Amino acid sequence: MIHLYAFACGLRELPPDAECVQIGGMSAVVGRIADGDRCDSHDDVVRHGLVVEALVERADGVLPARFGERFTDIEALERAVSARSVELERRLRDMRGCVELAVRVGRTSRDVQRDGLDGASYLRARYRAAAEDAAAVSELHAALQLRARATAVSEQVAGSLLHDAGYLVGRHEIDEFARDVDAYASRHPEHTVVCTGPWAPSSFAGAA
Amino acid sequence: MSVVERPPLEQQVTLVELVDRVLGKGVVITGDITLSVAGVDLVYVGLRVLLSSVSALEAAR
Repeated sequence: MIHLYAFACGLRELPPDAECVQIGGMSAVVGRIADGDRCDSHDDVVRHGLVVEALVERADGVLPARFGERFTDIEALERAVSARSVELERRLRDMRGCVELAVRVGRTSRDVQRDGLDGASYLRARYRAAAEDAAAVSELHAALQLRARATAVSEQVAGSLLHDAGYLVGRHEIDEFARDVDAYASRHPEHTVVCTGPWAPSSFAGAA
Repeated sequence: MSVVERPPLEQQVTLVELVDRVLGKGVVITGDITLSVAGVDLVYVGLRVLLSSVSALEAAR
């Protein structure tokens, strides 16, 4: 069995235990699975992620595959990819020279205190705090968007998590992006800002 | 008494993110991806993978 990790362009070096299959203008980076091996353990999930992330420093562009793409052999992989090669090559071109930076913003300080407030005042204070959070996060996103070629904002924010987004950023723009994030964190001590990366651009690879 | 040190928070955060990215993002070619990991639905597996991996890291120390 063949396990697909990612497609790459400008691949200079393979991660350990990975192989390369050339399909059109793309390098499909794959691994072999022994017959009968389900390859679905917790460690397999982490290993998949580590191989994909290792490609970030070894290729000009990476289009990550979701965990679990299996093919009986190389021919089956080639058949499946060839059917969508135009679209996949376009997506891979879009990823060239780019990485993903993830930004999460959470509220650090405790929620509005109820002590001494009647019900209406408490609700007004909560509403005001929520509006201030939304405005601040919106300001951050607008600034980061200017640095990014594409963005992927999660709609699944709730509770103290205010913002969760991925930004597709050119490699040469990482430092400026990080500076913008640091500046925001300095201006807003009431928020915890976590920026991670550079990652392979999984949020921008798209699904079928 | 032995003291088991937890991995730094930074390391745990990046591990969570790595797992989330692998399971929930990335291009799908066949639409026939593995639906479970170790018998647990992928929707729920992220945290279990994290806990397992952190445990493994701690045990290896």
